[in-house]
Amino acid sequence: MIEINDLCVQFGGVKPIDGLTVTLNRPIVGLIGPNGAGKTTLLNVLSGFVEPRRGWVKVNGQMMTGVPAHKRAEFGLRRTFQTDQIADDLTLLENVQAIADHAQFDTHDAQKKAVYGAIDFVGLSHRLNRKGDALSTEERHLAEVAKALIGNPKLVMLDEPGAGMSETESEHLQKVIRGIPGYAKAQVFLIDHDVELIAACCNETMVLDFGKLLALGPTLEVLKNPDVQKAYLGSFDDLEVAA
Amino acid sequence: MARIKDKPDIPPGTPFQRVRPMLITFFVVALIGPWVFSSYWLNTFSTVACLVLASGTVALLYGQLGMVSLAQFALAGVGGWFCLRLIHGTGMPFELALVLGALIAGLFGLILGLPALRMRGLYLALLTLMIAAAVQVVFNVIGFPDGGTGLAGHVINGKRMMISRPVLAPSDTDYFRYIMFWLAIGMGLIEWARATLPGRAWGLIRKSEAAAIAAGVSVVRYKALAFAMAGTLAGLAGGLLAGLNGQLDNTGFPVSQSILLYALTIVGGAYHWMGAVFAGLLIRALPALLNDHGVDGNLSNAFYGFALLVSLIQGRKGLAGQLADFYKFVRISRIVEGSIIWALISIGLALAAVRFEAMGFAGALFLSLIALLFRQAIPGVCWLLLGFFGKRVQDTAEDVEAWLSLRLSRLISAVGLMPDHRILKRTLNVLFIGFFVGWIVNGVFDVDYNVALTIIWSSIAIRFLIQLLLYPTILPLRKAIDEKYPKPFAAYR
Repeated sequence: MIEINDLCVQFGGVKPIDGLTVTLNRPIVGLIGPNGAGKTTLLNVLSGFVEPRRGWVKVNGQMMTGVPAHKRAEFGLRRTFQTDQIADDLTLLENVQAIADHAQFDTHDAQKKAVYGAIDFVGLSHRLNRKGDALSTEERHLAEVAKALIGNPKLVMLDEPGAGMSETESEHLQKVIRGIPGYAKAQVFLIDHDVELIAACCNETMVLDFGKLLALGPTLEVLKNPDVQKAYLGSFDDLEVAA
Repeated sequence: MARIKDKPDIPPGTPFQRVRPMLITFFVVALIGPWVFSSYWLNTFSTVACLVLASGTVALLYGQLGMVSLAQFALAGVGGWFCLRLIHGTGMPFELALVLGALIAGLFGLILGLPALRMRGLYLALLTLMIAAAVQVVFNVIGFPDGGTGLAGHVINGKRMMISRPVLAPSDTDYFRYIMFWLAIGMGLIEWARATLPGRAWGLIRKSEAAAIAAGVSVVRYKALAFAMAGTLAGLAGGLLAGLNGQLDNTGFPVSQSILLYALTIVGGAYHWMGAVFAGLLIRALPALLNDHGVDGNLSNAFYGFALLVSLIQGRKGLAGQLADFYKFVRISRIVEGSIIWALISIGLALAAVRFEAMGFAGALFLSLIALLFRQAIPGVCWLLLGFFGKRVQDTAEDVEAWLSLRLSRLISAVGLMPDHRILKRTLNVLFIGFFVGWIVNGVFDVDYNVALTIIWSSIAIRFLIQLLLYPTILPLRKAIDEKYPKPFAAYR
């Protein structure tokens, strides 16, 4: 469960997030919004790279604001980045193992099982020994997801995992994301521009526009909301003004 | 999901398997080195081994974390200085002083690494350069390791004392092996770290510090570890240098050497242990080779500038990376075949040269190998070099060659022989290699021009004859070897 209370972030004169209060408790939560809506900034606040000017965030009742970024992994916060972070000269196995090295495991076997399990879960078992630079874009995104599943995560935050994927690849990704709450017992927080992916995966979707909450509710209802459609596609009034 | 045409991936192997080739190489060199080298060269190669270790530390910082440290050679100086002073001051055994000196240098490296936690790129390079310069100044002021007694030990107008070699390795031969032993330990540590947990953490940090932080990796700890390791091993190299000569000089660790060490580590390749070996050889062995043949060794600096330029253009992996890539694509059978045939030809010709008192064994061997190498590598390069004069010249040359080749092959088939449309190009290349290499060795190494031409052209001719006569026997052998040791990335035709 993510609780956000009166969150305010300011970079100079820009306010990417402005007074956001929301509670997200469904297993897979989507976040959409036009460019500059504050999506990635919200993720950065949750993972600790951005200090909010005001307000706080709690994950599973645990106060996160004030906890340094490198300590948040211990609380079970995992995230991926828009640009994938797979090291080119390490193999896929080593890339995932590198994350497991710094997570808590009871035994060596448990660690090994978690690493192989996560890679198998995203469907990359046949690429274990492939170097990062030889993986396709899809495989790199899936590997990123696998990395985020290591070490009993409580909240998995995915930042545009479907970027640059074809339709079939995106379908596979949908299956993987839908499986995460069952596999890792973690809540998923998914940001993407691909509305189809959001619609297929998320129980609940939140829409941001210029740092403010535009809509929150069951995904299909939210996507039909005229305000959301206007924010995303613009309205005919805007077009006339532009012309 | 796996597609059939996908090439299989090669597992990287256990950490030990990954360190093993390096350890075996060092062991073989330590074993046979003293038999092959003269005492001058043994001394040179002892220095080279120390420099390899120092270069390995530069490669560790640059290759693993992308951090430029220009102070590694100065840290070697710190390690050597403390090693010397500890022995002079307390009379402790060499090994203890060596390890203590290395640890102190490691501490210096760690302190040096503190600003690196916030700086990178050019700023870090400048900072480490300043530190290297400061170390040089400090050495000059405190009278770098004067061989006096006591911990401060100044010598005024007296004779400097030398430290004695370690009890285990009193002679030059033993000491060479002693250095190789420490080199194997030092480089082994680096390679082991690269293959295990620290290497993976460095990989994450290298890719993105933010991602590493999000994964709970302590960036500070692993950067500090790299700097401490690099400092300690550089200090070890310095201590070994001190033991080699019995003393060190305050002019021995100038800033320019630190920069040279860094530049040549890039040329050699910072992502493979062989890169450090190449760097060590380039720094000390190449100038020694030139000096040995009556050419000023400083000439090699001009070559280094060129080499650095080439490796910056060619890609970031350096000589070692290119060699490793080359190895990945070349079939085992061709390597075996090439080594046997090249060895037979060159050793045979060298023996013949000695027999007819034309030139020395090593010289003839070297010349023959160069001829074979050029025959293999130069055809493409020659035509490429023409591009230097402009596209028009290159195209014209190609056209003229094609026109001539066509006429020539028609002529040959008119006579009733099998035509070979590449014969002109090949002849041109062979002529070029003969005259060019002959001219170089005549000028640089004082080899008689005719003797050089004979050796070069006989090497190429014998290679051609062997191919012509033995192919029916060689081809099945090749096939058998390739089936036994397949390589996924090699082109099988």
